Amino acid sequence: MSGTGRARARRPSGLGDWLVVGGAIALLVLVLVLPLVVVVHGAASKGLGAFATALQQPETIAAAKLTLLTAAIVVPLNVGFGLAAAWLLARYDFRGRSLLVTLVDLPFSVSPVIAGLVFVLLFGAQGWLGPSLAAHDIRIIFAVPGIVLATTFVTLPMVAREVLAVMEAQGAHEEEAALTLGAGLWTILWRITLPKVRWGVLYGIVLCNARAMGEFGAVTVVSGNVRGETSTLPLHIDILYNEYEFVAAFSVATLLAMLALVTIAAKRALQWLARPTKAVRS
Amino acid sequence: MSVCVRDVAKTFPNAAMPAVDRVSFTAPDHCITTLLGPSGSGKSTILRMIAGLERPDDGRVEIHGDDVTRVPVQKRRVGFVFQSYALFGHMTVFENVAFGLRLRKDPKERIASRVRELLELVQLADLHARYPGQLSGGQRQRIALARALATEPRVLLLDEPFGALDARVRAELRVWLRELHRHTKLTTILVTHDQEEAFELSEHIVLLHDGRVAQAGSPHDLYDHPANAFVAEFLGGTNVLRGSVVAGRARVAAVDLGEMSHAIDGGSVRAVVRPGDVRVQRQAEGGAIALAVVGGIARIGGQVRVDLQLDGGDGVTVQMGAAELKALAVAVGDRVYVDLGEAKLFLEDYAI
Repeated sequence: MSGTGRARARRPSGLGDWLVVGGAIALLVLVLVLPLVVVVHGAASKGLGAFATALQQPETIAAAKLTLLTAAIVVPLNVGFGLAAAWLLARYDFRGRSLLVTLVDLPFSVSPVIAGLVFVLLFGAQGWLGPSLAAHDIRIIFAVPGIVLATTFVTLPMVAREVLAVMEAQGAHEEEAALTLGAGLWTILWRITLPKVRWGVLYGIVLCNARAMGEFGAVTVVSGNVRGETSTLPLHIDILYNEYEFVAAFSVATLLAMLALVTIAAKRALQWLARPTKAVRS
Repeated sequence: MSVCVRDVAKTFPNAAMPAVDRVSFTAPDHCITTLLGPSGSGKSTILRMIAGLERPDDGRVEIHGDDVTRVPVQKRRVGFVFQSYALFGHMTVFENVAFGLRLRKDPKERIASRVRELLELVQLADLHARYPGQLSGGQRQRIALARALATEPRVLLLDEPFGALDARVRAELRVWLRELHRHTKLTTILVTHDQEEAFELSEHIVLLHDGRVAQAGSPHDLYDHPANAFVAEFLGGTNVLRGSVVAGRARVAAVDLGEMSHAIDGGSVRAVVRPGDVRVQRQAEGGAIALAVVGGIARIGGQVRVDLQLDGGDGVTVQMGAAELKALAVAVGDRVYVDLGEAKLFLEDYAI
């Protein structure tokens, strides 16, 4: 594994290179930078006071809390599942393995709205399990558990995919070496495997977190959109926008965008902190 | 501590052929035994089964007389070295070597002194604070060896340990490994496809072919008395001539190569002869002489490779010193006599 370094990059030269680079930058500005500017500009259009007021509305605060709660439940679930699934798929060969790989990918290929609908059909009042849930006074649809379930479904492949790719690229020889030196399963997991795949896990967490906080389609189907109760930040933005409260909508959108930026910054910071060992991967 | 493998078999899922097909051999105490064979011959799988990294479908593995077939890897006390080094990339050289000692909960001072001792043994004491990524391939493999030796294994298992290194480093490490073995006298099993490596390092060779033992014995046994055509061809015999049995004698390229006892007339014969064992002559001297035309001459350093076309149509490659060629004074197109007396004869397998 000597070729882990990036191939020697050169500076763009000649018309062709600059056309490609220029095109890429123009596209980035158009689809990434401009929308962000528009959002922030919309939020600040009536001054910082209006921005602050919009964020202090009880419904906004409730939506932000619900979003953070959802992410706080979904991300750890995802890490646990992702590591277990990746370990299973990378280290073992068994009947039905390729079926499982396809299943793990399923949430990526199914529309989030359908994912939401599945849970409504399963747990809703008219659903398969609806009557028995109602008998025990358990609410899943139009309540927080439904939102968590739908978000979990949509984000399921995030960590698993990232970690599986890293594990398959690295092979199992280090784990086998640890085995011959007398290490047990937990020692190997903590001291060998997790350090090896930590960048995959971290990247999976970032993707999962961003998606968990931003998911709209699946959540809108299962949440029922009760203001201040089952409305997450993306749903709340949608409500505000449809009620022509543009400043408030853009303000909350700015908040959501900031949360995403914080996630990315956190990943950067972690990478920077772990830098001394990162430079010496074999 | 000898290692004994008895009737071991292994077929991988989704594979048509068994990877290892009822293999038995003994790796003697204090010796380096080589599992030699082309890729796909099952040699690595056997090594992994001795280590416990792979479970045999059938058969037994014994280390020092104990049946360890069902013993988990961690309890077998084997040292294993991989072709890919498999060093822990996020740990320093010191921590890599100390890994097994820490698991045994050795006291700190003992670990420190043992690691130092091992790093001195592999001549890399000053690199203890480095990370594997900062070392060369040869250094990494020496650290991997130190790590495997740290926990005082009963047996050392080396899986193509020099396969990823360039020729010069490989030759250096071979000499170094032999020295190391002279010190430790640890029973060692080495897997390689490189016969030169096998001959230089080992006292005992198990030559594998298609998951079975083709021949086992000392390097000289295998070289001088190959048991079958595969062994003869694998160990340097690139010239294979086909002929048949006529009146109980082998006739190849219109030459009588000797007696084939118990052979039926008309049976196919395969004659295998090493390029260095073929004599080229200006005048016919000796019994097994064939006529040939010189097809090509290529110099490779001090050696010359001469390609000959026998009258029967078979091609033969001859290797000789540049001086010898000069004395013979042959050129492309010349007719020469070829002494095939050193050829080893095998009756053709009808199964093929």
